[in-house]
Amino acid sequence: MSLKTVLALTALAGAAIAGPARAQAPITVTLKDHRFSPAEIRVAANQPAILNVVNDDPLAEEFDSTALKVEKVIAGKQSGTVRIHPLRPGRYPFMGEYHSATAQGVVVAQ
Amino acid sequence: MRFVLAPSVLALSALGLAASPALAAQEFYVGEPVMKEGLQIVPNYLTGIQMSAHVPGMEMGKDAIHLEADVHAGKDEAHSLAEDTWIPYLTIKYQITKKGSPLYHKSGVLAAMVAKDGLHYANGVRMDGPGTYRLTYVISPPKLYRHVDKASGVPDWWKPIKAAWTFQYPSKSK
Repeated sequence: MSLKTVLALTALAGAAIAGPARAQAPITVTLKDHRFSPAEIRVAANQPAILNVVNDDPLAEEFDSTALKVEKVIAGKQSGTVRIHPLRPGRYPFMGEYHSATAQGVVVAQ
Repeated sequence: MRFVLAPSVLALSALGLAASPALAAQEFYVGEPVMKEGLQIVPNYLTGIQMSAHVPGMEMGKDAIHLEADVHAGKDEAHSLAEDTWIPYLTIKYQITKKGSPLYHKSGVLAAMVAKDGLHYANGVRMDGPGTYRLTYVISPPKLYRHVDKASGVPDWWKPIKAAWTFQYPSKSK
């Protein structure tokens, strides 16, 4: 094993042990015809997560969740970032409040 | 999201005796978000809201709406406010008129309040029945002191923001 390899491995091990928690890649959720897709979003528990919410409908929608303590309005044909704080394992419902009859979803932290 | 549905009401509903089927709080679309001065300004209205206490002059009841303004920082707000931060200490004046009803004219100021869907500005406004309405908000800068030194200072506040929307009442969405 060359010195270079040892150094690289040491650096990797160090990052794995002491490095900051790796952020999860943003998860894209699309709203079309007042329905979320996917409607069930899985995130790792106890880690922050980022949703990239794409509103493919012509008018604004309000991404709303009492469970997640999030409210974010996304204009028609625009996208918005919804930041989710670290969650304990569980199910966290959300909805598009202007069309809550159909725009329903859930974040599952596990 | 605000659900106000007492068990007794549920029981009455089950028996088919409830006077009104729409007692739970519901939020309705008024118009598209407006981006100005690095802020996202969103109008909407709710029905079925109960308050403690009432904003002075707040109109309540079946023909009144709970008129809201959601004002949050956008991506590049100049005063170092992170995206989605609620903007406190604003003065938001509203004006509502109705097409074809020259005698109907409502104006006032929204009050800061909190609910399960977060901090917002709102007031109760009596409507003049179904129709086409025009809503105008005039938003004055936050009553907040500012740092102005080179290292930690933030720019002067903007001039009052005006935003207006035309909307149908009652809303057809849901």
